[in-house]
Amino acid sequence: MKLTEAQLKEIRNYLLAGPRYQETYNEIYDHIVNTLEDTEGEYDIDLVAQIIEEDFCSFPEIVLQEEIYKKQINKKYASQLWQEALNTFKFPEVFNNLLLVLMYGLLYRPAVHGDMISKIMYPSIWILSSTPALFYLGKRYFIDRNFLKTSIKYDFLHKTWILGLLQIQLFGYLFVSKHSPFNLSPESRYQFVFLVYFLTSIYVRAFIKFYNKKISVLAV
Amino acid sequence: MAVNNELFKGTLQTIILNLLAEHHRMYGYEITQKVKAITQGELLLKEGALYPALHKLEAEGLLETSTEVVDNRLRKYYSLSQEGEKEVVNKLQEARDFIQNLQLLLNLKPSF
Repeated sequence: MKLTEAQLKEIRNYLLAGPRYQETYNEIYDHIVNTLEDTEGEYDIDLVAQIIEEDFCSFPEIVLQEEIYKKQINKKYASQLWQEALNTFKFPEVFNNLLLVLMYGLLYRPAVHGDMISKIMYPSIWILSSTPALFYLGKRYFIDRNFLKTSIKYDFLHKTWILGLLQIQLFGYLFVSKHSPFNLSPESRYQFVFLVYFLTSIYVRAFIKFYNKKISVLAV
Repeated sequence: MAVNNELFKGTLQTIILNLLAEHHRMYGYEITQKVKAITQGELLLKEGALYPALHKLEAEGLLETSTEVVDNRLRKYYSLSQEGEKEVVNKLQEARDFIQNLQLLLNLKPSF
């Protein structure tokens, strides 16, 4: 049967009550339209319900499968993000890390003997560690603003930026900030702040690479 | 006579990987129709089993996905990743060995 635009819209609206994520919504919608186009006879919305029932069992079953899929995707993304972090130690990415080490030596004196740590380095860690949040918010609320459903990718992005930010800020608070509960010498404080800066830099660079490769594309 | 679908549950991944090895890239509905056509309707691949299997293979890195707009709707295509291309050889060998053992166990004679 050939479906009209009004009928397609009816199918899209019907499916809104089913899948929770944009990716599965699109896939099931495409599947149903293909099935209907290969079916002889008159269109009826009950046919859609029948296809869901026969081919996908039910809407709750689809949601259940989506949760399994989301866990699998999160696991895959975690491993890919970790791989990107490890890649920063490989050629040619390693040069960025070496540059940071060089910076460590160059900034040692002004940082230890001045107030560079609290005025420049600590705020820059704050800004740097917030970058993944900007990517997430930009993707979810600007780039994907026309999506009917939320993307299955958001869960991983959301968890990653919150976890990354919290870990970095906690580490920074404990060892770097003025309110640190530990009484550290300026030299130790500088070494800690630099370690936090180094790890944050790796995390943010890995996140951006991962985002460009896996998140900014349409497919999961 | 329709084949009991339970019998090919364990080989679903092998079937998908082999179809993708032969056809470069396919979408979900296309896979169900291809299985139906090859087996002349004897095997009906249920979508409730197909999509979770596709998603699992994708998460394991054996499949890659791409999306295209076809007739004003997004269509998700699956293709073998480099790892998937290696895995399909192993899976096919596993399936062949299994069938051979099944023939011995059930005293079946190949129909060819």
